[in-house]
Amino acid sequence: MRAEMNMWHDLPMQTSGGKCSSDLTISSSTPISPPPLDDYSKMSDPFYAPLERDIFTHPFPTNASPFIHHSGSVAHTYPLSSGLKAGIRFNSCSPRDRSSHNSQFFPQSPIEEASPSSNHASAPDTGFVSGYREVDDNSWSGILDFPVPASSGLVEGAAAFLPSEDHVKTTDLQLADQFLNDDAVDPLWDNLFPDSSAADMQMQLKIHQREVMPGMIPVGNPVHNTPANKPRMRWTPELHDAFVEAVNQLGGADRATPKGVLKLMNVESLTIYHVKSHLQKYRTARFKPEVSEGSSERSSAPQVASMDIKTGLDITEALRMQMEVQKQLHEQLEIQRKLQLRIEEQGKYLLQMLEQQNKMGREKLKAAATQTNANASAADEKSEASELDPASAEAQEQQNSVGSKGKQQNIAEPAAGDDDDERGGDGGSISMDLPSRKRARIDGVDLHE
Amino acid sequence: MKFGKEFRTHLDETLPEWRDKFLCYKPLKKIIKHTPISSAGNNDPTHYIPHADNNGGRPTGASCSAAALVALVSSDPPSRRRDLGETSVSLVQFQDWFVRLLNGELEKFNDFYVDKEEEFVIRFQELKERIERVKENRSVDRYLSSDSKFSEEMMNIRKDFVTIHGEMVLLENYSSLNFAGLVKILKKYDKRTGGLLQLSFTQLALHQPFFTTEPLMRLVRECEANLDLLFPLEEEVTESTSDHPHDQSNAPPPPQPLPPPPLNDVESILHETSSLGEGTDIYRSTLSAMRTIQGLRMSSTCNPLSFSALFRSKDEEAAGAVTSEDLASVSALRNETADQEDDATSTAPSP
Repeated sequence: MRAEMNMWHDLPMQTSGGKCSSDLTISSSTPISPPPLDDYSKMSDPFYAPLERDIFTHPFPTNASPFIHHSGSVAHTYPLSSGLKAGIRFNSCSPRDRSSHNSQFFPQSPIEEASPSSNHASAPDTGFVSGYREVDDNSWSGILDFPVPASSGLVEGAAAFLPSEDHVKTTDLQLADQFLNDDAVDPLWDNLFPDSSAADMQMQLKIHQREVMPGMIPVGNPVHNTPANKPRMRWTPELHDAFVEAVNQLGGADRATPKGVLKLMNVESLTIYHVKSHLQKYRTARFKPEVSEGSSERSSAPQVASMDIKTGLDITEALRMQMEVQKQLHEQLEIQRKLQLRIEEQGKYLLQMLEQQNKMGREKLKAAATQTNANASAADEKSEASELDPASAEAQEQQNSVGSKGKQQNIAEPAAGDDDDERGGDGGSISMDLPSRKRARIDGVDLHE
Repeated sequence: MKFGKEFRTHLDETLPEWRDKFLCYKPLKKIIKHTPISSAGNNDPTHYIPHADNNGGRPTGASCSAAALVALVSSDPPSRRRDLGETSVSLVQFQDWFVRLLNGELEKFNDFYVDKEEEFVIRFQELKERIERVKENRSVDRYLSSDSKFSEEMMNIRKDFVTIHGEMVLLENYSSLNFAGLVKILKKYDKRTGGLLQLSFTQLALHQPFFTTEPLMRLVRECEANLDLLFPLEEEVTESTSDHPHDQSNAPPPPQPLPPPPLNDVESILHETSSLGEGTDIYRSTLSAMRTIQGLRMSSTCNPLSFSALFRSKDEEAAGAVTSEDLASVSALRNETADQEDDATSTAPSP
C-alpha cells in the first residue's frame, strides 16, 4: 500500500520534472494519478463514489514555446504540467441515495483493473503504469461510448460520463476496496497542501473517504447526494496544444472537423462533444483578433501614426499600471488561498477525529450490547485502539506538516496508552476550542452521537 | 455581517456578466435564518418556494437558481412563518434540501469556472501565437513592414494581455470569494441546526474544480513572467522620444497594495483606445476585489486563525501588505494558541 502510495505520488512529480525515473514510459498514455477525492461518499453502501481523477494520455509532444512555462519552477504548480499529458478531470460522485444518478464512475474501471498489478509492492510504478495503459485502450472506449445525457444541461466544455449501471456495480466494491486500502494519492492534494508529505496525502485521502460515512453527521442523512459532482473536462495548456496541432494538421480552424480532430488527437477519454465545444470556442477566439489585425492593416497609416505617437506611451503607462494592480491582487489572492487551505486543514482533522469517535462509539455500543463477559469488551477496546492508532498517528503527521510544534496528543483510549509514547511530535496544534472538546469526548466515556 | 456587505459590494462592482455566477450568499443566509425547522415538521421544504408567483413552479431545490432563491426569500418571512406555522420542516428534510441547494451552487461555480478556464487557455495560447507572429514579421521584413502597424498590433496585444491577465485574476478572486462565502454559509447552517455539515461539505468544496485553481494560477504566473518581454518592446518601437513628457509620476506603483493608481487616470487613458469597455470594467473589478480582500481582513473575528487576526498582527507596519511571512505566522499563531490551550486544559492521561 505504501508502495502504491509512493507510486501515485511519484508519478506526477516525475512528470513535472521534479523527480526522475526511468519509469517515465508513462509519457505517452498514462493517467497520472488518483483524483482528488471530493466525494467518497460510499463506504458501507455498495455504491461507491468515483473519484475525480486526472488522466493523461497525450501522444503529442509539447510545442516548443518561447514563453516561459512555469512548469517546474513554481513550487505549487499543477504537477501535470510537463506537457506530456492531456488533462482530463472527472469529478463524479454517486449520490448516497442510490436513487439515482447513474452519473458516476467510469474512470474507476481502469484503475480498478490496474489494481491487481499495482497492489503488489514490487515495481509498483511499472505495474501501475502498464496496468493502466492496458486498460486504457480497452475500457476507456467502453466508457466513452456513453452518450452525454441530454438533461445534463452542460455548459460547453463540461461533459458528463455515464457508464451503465452494470459497469458501476461490478467495479464499485473492488474500487472501494482499492481506494480505501491503497492510500492512493492525488497530485492535486499536493497542490492543496504543498507542505504535506506523501504520508499525509494518504492520510488525507483516507480522511476524505471516511468523512462522509453514514452516521457521521448527527442528523444522519446522506450529505453528499451530489449531482454537482459530475466528471468535468478541464482543458490544460498541454491538451490545448495538442488540439491546436491537430487542427493545424487538418487545415486550420475552419476546415477541421471535430471528428477529425478527435481522431488525430487520440486522447483517451476525450469525447467528440468536448472537441466540438472546444473547437467552437477556438474559432471564436481566433476570429476576433483576426478582425482587429485585418482592420489595423486596412486603417490608414497617418491616422494610426498620429494616435500612436501621441497616446502610445500614455496607453502603455496606463496598461502597466493596471497590470501592476492586477499583479498585486493576484498575490493577495494567492496568500488568501493558502490561508483558506490551512484553515480548512483543521476541518479535516476534526472530521477524522469525529469519525473515530463515532466509530468507537458504535463499537462500544456493539460491545456493550453483545458482550457477555469482560473479555469480550476488552478485546473490542484493544481492536479499537489499534484501529485508532494508525489513524491518529496519521493525523499527527498531518499536523506536523502544518508546521505545528511537536506535541503529544493523546487521543487514544487509555487502554491503548502504551502506544502513545511511540508517537512522535505531532499535531497538538489545533488551536480552536473544538479539538480539546473532542479530545475530552474521546477520552471520556460519554460519546456524543 | 461584514462579509455579507463586502460580498454584496463586490457583486455590484464586478464584471456584470459574472454577477449571477457568484454564490447566492444573502438568499442562502435568509433561508437558514427563516426556514422554520422543527421536529414535528414534515413538509417538503420546497413548498416554500413560491409556486405560481413568478417562477412557474420550480419544484426542486436541485435546480434552484438564484432567482428562485431570491424570490423565495423576498416574500415576507414573518407572514410566511405565520401561514406555515404548522407546516415547518423537519431537520432531515431541511438538510436534504439545503445540501441540494449547495450542490447546485457548486455546480454553478464549477460550470462557470471550468468554462472560463478553458476560454483562458485558448485565448492565452492565441495571444502567444500572435506575439510570435508579430515578432517574426518584424524581424523578417523589418524594412518593409510599417512601424506603425507593428506598434499598433503590439499595442493590441498588450491590451489583450493585460485584459486576459485581469480576467484570470478576477477568476481567482471569484473562486476564493465563493469559497469563503460557502464556508460562512455552512457555519451559519451548523449554528442554526447544530449540525456538522460544515466539516464535510467544506472538504467536498475544497476539491471541486472551482477551487482547484492551480492551472489558472500557473497561467497567471506565466503571464506575469512574460510581461516584461512585452512592454520594453514599445520603447524600441515608438520613435516618439525618450524625452516625451510623462504625466503620471512615473515611479513604479508603490510596493504596498495601497493605494492603487487613481481610477480616473487609468480609466480615462484606457478610454482612448478601443477595446476599452472591457479594460475599464476589469480595472474597476480588480480594484473592487482588492478592496474586498482588505475589507475582509479588517473583520472583527476573534478566531486567531482568521484572516483578520493574521493581518492585524502585521498591520502596524505595511498598510495591510501581506506577504508570505504571514503564512509562517499562521503556524506561529497556532503554536502559540496551542500552547496556551495545553497549559490551560488538563491533558488526557498519558502513560
